[in-house]
Amino acid sequence: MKTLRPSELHQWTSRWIDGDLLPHEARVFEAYLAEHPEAHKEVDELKRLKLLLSNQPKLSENIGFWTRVHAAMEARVREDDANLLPFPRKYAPIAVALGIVGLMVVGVVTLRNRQSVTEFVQQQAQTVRKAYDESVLKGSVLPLFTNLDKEKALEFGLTGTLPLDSKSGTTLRIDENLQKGYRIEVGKFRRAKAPSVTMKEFLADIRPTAKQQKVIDTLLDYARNRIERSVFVGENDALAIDPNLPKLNKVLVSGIAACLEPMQRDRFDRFLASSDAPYVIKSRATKAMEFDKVMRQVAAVPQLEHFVIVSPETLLLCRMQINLDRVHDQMRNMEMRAELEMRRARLVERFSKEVSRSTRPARWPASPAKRGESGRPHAVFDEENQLDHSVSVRTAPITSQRQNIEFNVGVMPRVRKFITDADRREVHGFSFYIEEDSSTDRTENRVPRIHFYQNNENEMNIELSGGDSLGKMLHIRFQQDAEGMDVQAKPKIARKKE
Amino acid sequence: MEVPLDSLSHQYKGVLRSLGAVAVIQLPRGVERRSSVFSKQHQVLVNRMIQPERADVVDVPLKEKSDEVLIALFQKGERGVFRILVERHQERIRNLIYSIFRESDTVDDIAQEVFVKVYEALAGFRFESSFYTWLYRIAVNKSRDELRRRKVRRFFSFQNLEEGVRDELEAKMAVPPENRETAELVSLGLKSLSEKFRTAVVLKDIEGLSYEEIAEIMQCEIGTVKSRLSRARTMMRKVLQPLLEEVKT
Repeated sequence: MKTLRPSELHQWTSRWIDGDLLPHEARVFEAYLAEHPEAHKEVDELKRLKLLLSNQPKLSENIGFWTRVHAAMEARVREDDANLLPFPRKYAPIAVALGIVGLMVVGVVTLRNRQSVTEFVQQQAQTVRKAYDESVLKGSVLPLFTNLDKEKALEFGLTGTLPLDSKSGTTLRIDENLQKGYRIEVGKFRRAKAPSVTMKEFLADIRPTAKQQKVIDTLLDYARNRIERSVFVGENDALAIDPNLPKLNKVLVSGIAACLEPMQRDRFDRFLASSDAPYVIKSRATKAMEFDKVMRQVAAVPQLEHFVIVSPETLLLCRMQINLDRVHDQMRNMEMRAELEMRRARLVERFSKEVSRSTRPARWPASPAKRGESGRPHAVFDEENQLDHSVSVRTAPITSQRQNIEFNVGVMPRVRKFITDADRREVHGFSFYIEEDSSTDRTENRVPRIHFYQNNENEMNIELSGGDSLGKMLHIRFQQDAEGMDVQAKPKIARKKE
Repeated sequence: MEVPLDSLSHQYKGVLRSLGAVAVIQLPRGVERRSSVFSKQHQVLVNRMIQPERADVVDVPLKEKSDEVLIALFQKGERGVFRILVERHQERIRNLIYSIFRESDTVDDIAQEVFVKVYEALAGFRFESSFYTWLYRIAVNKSRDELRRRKVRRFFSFQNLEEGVRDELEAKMAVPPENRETAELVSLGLKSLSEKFRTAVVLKDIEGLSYEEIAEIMQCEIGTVKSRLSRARTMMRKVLQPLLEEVKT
């Protein structure tokens, strides 16, 4: 056998001591060892090494080892049970890494396609804008009565009017009839008898204490806020009016009356009479109510998200969620303030024109049963045949939250106007009723007139009279479902048979 | 031990009958490992054929049942038998880990991890190798993980594990022979080896396993095992030279 290189020798000696050499290999290697003492020495040393290794001390037995393993297994099971991840916790780093890689990929793809993404966002924005523009209240809605002062709020409480334009005298007016409900009118009907109300005169007449004045100021502030939230104007000259607005008027006057002492209340009643307010004080001798109670009653006037919307084309009841904070943000913009003035001017111009076209003296709208009764000016719109347009209204259910607004001191209408509509069938829930006033002469009164009557919290009438809409009737009815919980809008246009 | 053919499952019964067999013989464990009659594959096949059915047909106490029977029971839902497996193998595994680390305080931690891992994976054990080989592989892998962790820690503290051990070994070798602790020196000699050489030596010279078993446990070729053993022994012989000469005298 030739002389082995060191590495070969190590291999052979290692296999030799393990008994791994085949018999003929073993014979050859034994002969080699006999001739090479250094190889023999290596074999001996490796044998000794192997012996030393095999005689290494062993560990002593651990009798508590199973307990330890068992506790660890239970801890692992508890960990797995507590793991809320949809995969074992040990894969969490992998999942996080995959998530990061995924985000990076999305980022890179987005970066590469940023142009198309931008286009897509712009398209979507245009689509939304278009849909918004095509809605009933086109574009932005703006509160028609912003920055009302206390005098205007007081005037609203006493007379139910909110001036749209002082020059032309175009005004939004609400009126109440206890038996038949409320009325909202937009028109030019400043009454000669009605002097403008000033806070100074009011306070001088009533002579409230400092505390009472504070209460009155709070009530007026509340009313200003509610009025701002109750009347909006859209881009297409559509008006959105909270049907509960007339209720605020009555409650405001009642609240002021309630916080006064009997003597002051007498003076307030005289003040109401001198202001031509449509109310008289009900219970003059009752003691003043506590401030908290007054405020609770006033705040109980419901403000639902439903608005009556009057547009040139249609007339609907819609559910609108208006974020007044956003509207206020818009109003900080000069352009939007200018826009509001333009819209207000358009409305005023329109109403002024219609009133000038009207050949008849303004009067209250007569209901079918009270035809011929003298009336007062009313809201008018010049859109002839406007009711030919279909009314597609789809409102959310109107919850009939009947709020108990009870003052021990209240007001009641001074002027009673009965509006009856005997032809109307009784329906449960909401009933919108629009019909023409056939009592008026077509030749004399060519413009249709729209009146809103809220009979009570669950019922509202919208009446149209005059103009070329003679013979046409729009009838929108809201009926409760079988369980009496929801009110579904079921608009229907019917033509009255002539 | 002879097992009647009828106690085997249907699929094996048919094959063996076609070969003219009437029974299969299960070799005792010691024989099984060094058997030249049965190749490893044959033995595994026989074990796979026999064990699951034997658990049902042979009425022996659980503690006397073979690993394969216990595993079959475990896989059928009897989780309690795992304790027997642990108690049967815990000392071998603890000593294997001790041989690799030569540190008694870390042995139980690593051994515990090994058995928890075994518990989690045992339901998927497919009897393709013997249980103890599989168990050793898990223990060796866990030990390797731990050694690598230590190596990373040492790397960041600018220390070299093997070099530090060699320095310590040289210092101990310098003391007079009568004051030397042989076992401690051998331990240091082992620790001076890198992980793959150390594991090969431990499995061969301390645990007494065959080249084939070591190859299976370390997941490498038999030739690689021989080569690693040769190199490891040469390195140890070199560092323990004075000790080996002293033993000789």
